[in-house]
Amino acid sequence: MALYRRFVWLALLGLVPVVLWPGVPTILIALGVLSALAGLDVALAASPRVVVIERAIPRSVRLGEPATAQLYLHNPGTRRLRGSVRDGWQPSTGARNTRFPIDLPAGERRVFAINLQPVRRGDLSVHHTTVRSSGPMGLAARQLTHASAGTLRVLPPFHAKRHLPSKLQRLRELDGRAAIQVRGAGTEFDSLRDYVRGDDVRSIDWRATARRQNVVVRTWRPERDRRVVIVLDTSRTSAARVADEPRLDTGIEASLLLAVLAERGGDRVDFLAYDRRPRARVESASKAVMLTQLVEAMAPLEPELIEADFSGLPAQVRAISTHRSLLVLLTALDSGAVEEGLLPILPALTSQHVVVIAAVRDPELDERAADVSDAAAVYRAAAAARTLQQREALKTQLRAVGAEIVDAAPLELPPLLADTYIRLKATGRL
Amino acid sequence: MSRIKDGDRLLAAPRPASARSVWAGRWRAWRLWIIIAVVAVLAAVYYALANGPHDTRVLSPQNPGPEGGKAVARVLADHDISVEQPDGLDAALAALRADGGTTLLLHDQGGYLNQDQLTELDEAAGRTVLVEPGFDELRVFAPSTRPAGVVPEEADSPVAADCPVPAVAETREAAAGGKKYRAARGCFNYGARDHEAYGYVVEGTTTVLGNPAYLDNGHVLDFDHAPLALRTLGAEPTLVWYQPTVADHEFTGPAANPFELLPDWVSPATGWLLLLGVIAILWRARRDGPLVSEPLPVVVPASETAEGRARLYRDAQAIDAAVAALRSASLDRLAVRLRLGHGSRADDIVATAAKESGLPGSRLRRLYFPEKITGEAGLVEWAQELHTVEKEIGIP
Repeated sequence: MALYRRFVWLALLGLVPVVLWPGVPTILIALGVLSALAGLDVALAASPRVVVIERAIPRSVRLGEPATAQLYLHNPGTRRLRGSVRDGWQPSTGARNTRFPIDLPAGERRVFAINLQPVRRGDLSVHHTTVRSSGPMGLAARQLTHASAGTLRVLPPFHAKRHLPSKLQRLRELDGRAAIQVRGAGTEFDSLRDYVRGDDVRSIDWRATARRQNVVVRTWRPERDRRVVIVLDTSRTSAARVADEPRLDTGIEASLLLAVLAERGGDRVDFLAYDRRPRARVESASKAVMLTQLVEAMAPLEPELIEADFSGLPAQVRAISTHRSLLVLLTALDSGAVEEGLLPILPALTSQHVVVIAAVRDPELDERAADVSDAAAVYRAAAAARTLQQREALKTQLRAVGAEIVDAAPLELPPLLADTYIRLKATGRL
Repeated sequence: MSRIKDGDRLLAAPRPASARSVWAGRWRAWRLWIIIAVVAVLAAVYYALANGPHDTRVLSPQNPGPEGGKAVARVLADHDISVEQPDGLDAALAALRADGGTTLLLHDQGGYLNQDQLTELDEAAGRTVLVEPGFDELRVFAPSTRPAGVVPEEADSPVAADCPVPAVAETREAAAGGKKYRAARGCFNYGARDHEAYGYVVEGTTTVLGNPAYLDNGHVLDFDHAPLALRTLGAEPTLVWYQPTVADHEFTGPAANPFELLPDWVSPATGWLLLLGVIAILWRARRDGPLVSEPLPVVVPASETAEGRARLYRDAQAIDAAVAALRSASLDRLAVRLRLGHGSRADDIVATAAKESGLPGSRLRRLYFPEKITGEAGLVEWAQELHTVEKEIGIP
């Protein structure tokens, strides 16, 4: 039951008899007439209960891109349904037009398009649709909320995509396909070809040269079909916002760039989101759908407010790959969490794999450490300097165990991690 | 009933709501109103039971509280004296005009009765007991008695009765308090010689009680109050215990109530407009569907631990700790800049820095091995100097 503005005006009109014939009976009669009219209107309204609600929602949408969800309303009843409908999308879907006037003749069906502009990654949902059915006089309405659930999966935006062309270019240079040759050390023999000026003289194959009239050089190509295991830490430290982005989202960007790069480089990529237990896992499958699988797996990830337990990590990694792999661990270099959780198990990992630890660095700490304008700023600078020193000490400890460290501000982390991968590949350390 | 369709996926449709869940939903929707209604009814019942028959007026014969007069009224009733409590002037006059001897107890705390009404009472009443009367009542009932103000709090208590009135014969002393009156004769003299002021005055058939403590539940057992009260009030078989209220007040003069000048339709119209307001509230307050909740993520600023540590330094005025942290960080930067290993001693780093940069060694030594720094001003000066020197050496 809901009232309309027209009913209020009608009630205001009731003032006339009350003024002309003052007294309690007039008021009661006027009230009775008003109630009777509203009751009649409600009784004549079409039932909102019989309305059948269907939805068409896109499977997924990348964050920052618009999407359109469709709402189908079918009126199987015998009366024409006039009124309004409101679709209950959660606010972060960015749905602007969720209220529609409706005019549904009996037995007909209408579609309404709802424009969505999601502002958050993850599974965004709609739980209910409210149908308000107005009476023929437009005084009052019947209102009912239908449960009609739906979910829109919003994928990570992958802004780091813009670094992809330049990184792929460098990867191709490694591969011997480009004009400029960069020879890797521990790479595999690919083919022989004629010497051109500029080639490294050390790569001349004298035996082949002797057989032919021209000088022949060997070409190498980087190793292929290596395993890259990306582990994304989803524990409490990943909830921290650095430069207005949670560490988790920066980690997702970096993982995506690295995964695409490694996949193009001919390596097999596995992804694991982990805190105390695996939260998401993508196995190296057919290459065409790898990126799709990866973003689908990453979309619903949220920081868990628990401490990471890395003691189960070696077993998880072993389950993914028994061979020597590049293990990329995206986590935070917060002294307590890493010293107690990660350091003890790191030797077990570095003995078998190449371990890269990538962490987001807070640029604000550097800014604070340099600001000595007044007393409060000096205390802040001292605290920041102390935190940074602890972080450096931690990095030294990690390097001593044999891990590579990539420590960069949020926007720089994905390209730096990609560079590290290319460097490791070029030097044949995979 | 709903079905969810997608170009390439068909999600399971929710089951149609069962009757049970429909009722559960209605209960959820209405429970706030039901609870409010139940609470309102319970409150009304409680109020009716707890406060209905109770009377909290001072000296009321129905009031069992310390200020009430129920004790005296009950004792009088036990002695076959009928105590009547009229609820208005007309009822009081009717009770007084009935057969048999009556005593009128008049306790007009608010001074609601006017001269005419008092005169009417005086004509109807036989014996009259005035409790703390004002000037108007005295002028009608006891013309030769005059109010003499309030008994000061520092007056000696109890006061000796010291008078020949028969009703006070068994009373030797009573508490001081209330008002005092000047009269030819009376009891409980508060005044000095030639300036007598009494707490209990008898003039003709009228008795003036200056102190309500003689009658109230809280003090009736003090001193000799009980015989005094019973003797004074119990002289006749009927006691009319009359306490005028604001309803007895007779408004005089033109247009005492400005609302009476308004036309008849104003108050019904006002009521209708109030009703209209309620309708408008119902119209505007009805939401089109329940609120949609947003599961918000946790927001943790990454540098809040560093911020917390800075505040600790500041609150504790930990100048030494701040100096140590800044100095150590600066030495680390110098060591990196000068390509000295991590294990280098501070002495060596500073000496090398002086040699490389051309800055005076004494200045660097003063900076990196500072004397005790006192005060925040000193700290800021030192930190800025450190910053400047780092810049001069070439650390970005």
